[in-house]
Amino acid sequence: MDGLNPELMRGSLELMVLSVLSDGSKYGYLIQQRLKDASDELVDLKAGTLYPILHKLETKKMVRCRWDDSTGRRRKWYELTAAGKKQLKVRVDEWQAYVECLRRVLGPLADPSPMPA
Amino acid sequence: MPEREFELYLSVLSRMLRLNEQQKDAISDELRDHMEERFEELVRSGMNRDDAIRQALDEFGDAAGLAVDFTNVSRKRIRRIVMRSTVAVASLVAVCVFFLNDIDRQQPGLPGSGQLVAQNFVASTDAAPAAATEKLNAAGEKTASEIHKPIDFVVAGEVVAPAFLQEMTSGGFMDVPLGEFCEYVSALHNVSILLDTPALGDEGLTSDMPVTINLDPFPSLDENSKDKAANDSEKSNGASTAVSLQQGLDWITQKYELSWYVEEGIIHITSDVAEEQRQVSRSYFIRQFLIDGFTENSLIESVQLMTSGQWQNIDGLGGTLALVGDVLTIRQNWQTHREIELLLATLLDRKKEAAIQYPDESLRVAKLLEQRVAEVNFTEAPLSDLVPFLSDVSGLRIRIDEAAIQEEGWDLDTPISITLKNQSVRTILRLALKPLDLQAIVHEGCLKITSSSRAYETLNTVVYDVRDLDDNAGQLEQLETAIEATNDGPWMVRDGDGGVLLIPGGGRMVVRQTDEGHREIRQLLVAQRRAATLGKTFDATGTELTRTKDAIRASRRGPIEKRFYRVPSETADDLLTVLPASIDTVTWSNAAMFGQGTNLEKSLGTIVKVEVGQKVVRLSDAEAKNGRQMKAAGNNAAAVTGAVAGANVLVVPESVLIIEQTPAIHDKIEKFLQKLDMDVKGVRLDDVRNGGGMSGGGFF
Repeated sequence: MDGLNPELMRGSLELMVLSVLSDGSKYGYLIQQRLKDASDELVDLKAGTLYPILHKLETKKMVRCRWDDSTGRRRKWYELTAAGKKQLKVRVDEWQAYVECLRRVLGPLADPSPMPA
Repeated sequence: MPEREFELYLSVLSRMLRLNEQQKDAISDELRDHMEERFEELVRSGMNRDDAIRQALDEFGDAAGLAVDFTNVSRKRIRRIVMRSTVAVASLVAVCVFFLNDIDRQQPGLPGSGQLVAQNFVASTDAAPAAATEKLNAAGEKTASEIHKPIDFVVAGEVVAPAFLQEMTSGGFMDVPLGEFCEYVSALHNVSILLDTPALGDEGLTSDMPVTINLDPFPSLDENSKDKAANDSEKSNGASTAVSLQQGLDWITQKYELSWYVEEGIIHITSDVAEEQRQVSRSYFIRQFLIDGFTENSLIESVQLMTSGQWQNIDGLGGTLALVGDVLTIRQNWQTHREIELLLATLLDRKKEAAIQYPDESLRVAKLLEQRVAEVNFTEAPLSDLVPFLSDVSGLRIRIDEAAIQEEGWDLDTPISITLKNQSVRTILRLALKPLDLQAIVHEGCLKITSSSRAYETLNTVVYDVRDLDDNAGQLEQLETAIEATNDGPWMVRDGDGGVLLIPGGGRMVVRQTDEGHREIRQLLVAQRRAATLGKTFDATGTELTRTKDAIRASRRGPIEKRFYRVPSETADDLLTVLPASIDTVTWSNAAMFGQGTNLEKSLGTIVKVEVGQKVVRLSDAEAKNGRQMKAAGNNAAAVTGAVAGANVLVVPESVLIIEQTPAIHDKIEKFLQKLDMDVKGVRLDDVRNGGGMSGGGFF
């Protein structure tokens, strides 16, 4: 998690994982890579953090999984369930509302034009 | 492939996971896949082998931390599995027992109307404890109206189990579309049944999905069906049992991971996820429980821990509850409300032992399992042969959890070998299934063959009436400790997840445990009760402890008696171990021998120490000098001397030894203490109450 405040990220990890799954099923390693690519390597989720999150989402039935043995080793694929899709939408809306709110509260402090260092 | 390092990490992780073997394997497989792919990529990018291995492993962090994370997640998972598998239910039709044989692939025979009379079976089995026999008789004599007495503690909310759910149903279905099954049942019972197709669609299911289930009475009354096929296991002994509508709904929804609820008299069949998320509020009037010895907290705790629903305050999602005065309002899904209502009804009941779901059926199945079979001789015979055979000789309907068996890699054709003479059905099943890692459990009021790992996760709630074992002096707490210590569990407190034991008040003990766990508890309670009534010691299987038997008998002159010995604290600690070790050793409980006060061996001696304060001894000058009094007060009394009001005084911290022993042993203890130069007499509780007894008066 170089570069980003882990405290800030913690609340959004599930959301990020769900969003990565929104365009099709993936296995753990692929999810990790996708997060890294999509964030310009700012989000480098450790495997030890990712898997418990995936299992938690599975427990909550936000994702379901299936095993694939065709590659020679057992691979576990995850995909969003209907509940997961619903949850993703709700969380994205929440996040947008939150960002909007924060932007209003911070006002000029959060001005998009970069302040001179 | 750097398998060695990865396997080492995975095996360390596995050992620390509090999960079943299958879950552990799944996690290992998943992480191994990740490690190998990561390793390959790092090597491709130019990193050397050793660094790549280290890097790949480092990204998983330390195994211990990861194990805790996985286990925490699975604690919720286990609750969910439990929910799916126990949300069965409710009420029962008194004299009938329901057995379903899921492997029955034949179109079953005609529905029968016979009823099974409990007493016949009681008479035919001989291995069960007397207490259970009485219980069964009592249950057998209960009428339907008694069991379905109106539950008057629900003050707001729709009736959970409308009367039509108790109606007997029938029908054998083989690969029938779910929609057609619903139409059939709807017509038969004249009720509306709606399929929640959007919810089913979310799970990838449709109303066309084929279902197979036998809801006909068992054993069937159709004589011809006996020869139809090997797995058409029937026993026409004149007794047959019918299936109620709600039971049929429970069975079919469970088998296909669906759920159901009733709203405004309409039965809805939906996905278990949808049912779980559909919360309704109901209010329960709890004054009767408070009068009966429960507290608000113990009742809420029972409701939350003894049912399978999830709760906001425990799981972070799920139901909520609020108490206003004597009204407990709960927002939960319908199936959990059903369990809560059953739990509350069972708590108010005065039964010795009652499962909240299918109480009478569960006891009866347990009973039938103890029947002995003269001979069983199977060599490499398919599972689908052994099961009907046992079903046939015992009259037990045996369900097979095919999904669970497949998870273990077996099917109905898996060969089994077993040769035994004159053993109980339970023993035969245990020994035959063990090599396959399968188990037969009593669940939902019938016998089910499932995998050991599923059996381990399948918890039932049972209310035990233990008022007779409550001596108001902590014996129930001892019982709780003993059960949690000696029972394999799993226990939430010990293993991180699993069963829970509560003593909520009113002399009830509520336990959520596996079938095997409950069997152990039942045996322990039987042993306790026998010990209490016979004054002999039995171990949990009813065998007398021969080691101590003769010595106990020799030393016993009268019943165990509690006496109080007031001694200086310093000496008390030594006496705690010295007395049991020096005086008729075998008559003390093992716990006492190891210096612990608590024990379950009611007929053996115990000794505990209680600090009670200080004794101030005035000394004459001469005594102060030679310390004779000090010696009299205890050989090694660590006393504080000082001057108070001009006199020499000795302040001696004092303790009371509370010893439970026979009068004969008490005499020996007094003599022993005299030899130690201590003039201490054991005082009986009555003497203390009467203010007499001890020299110097004012015992406490």
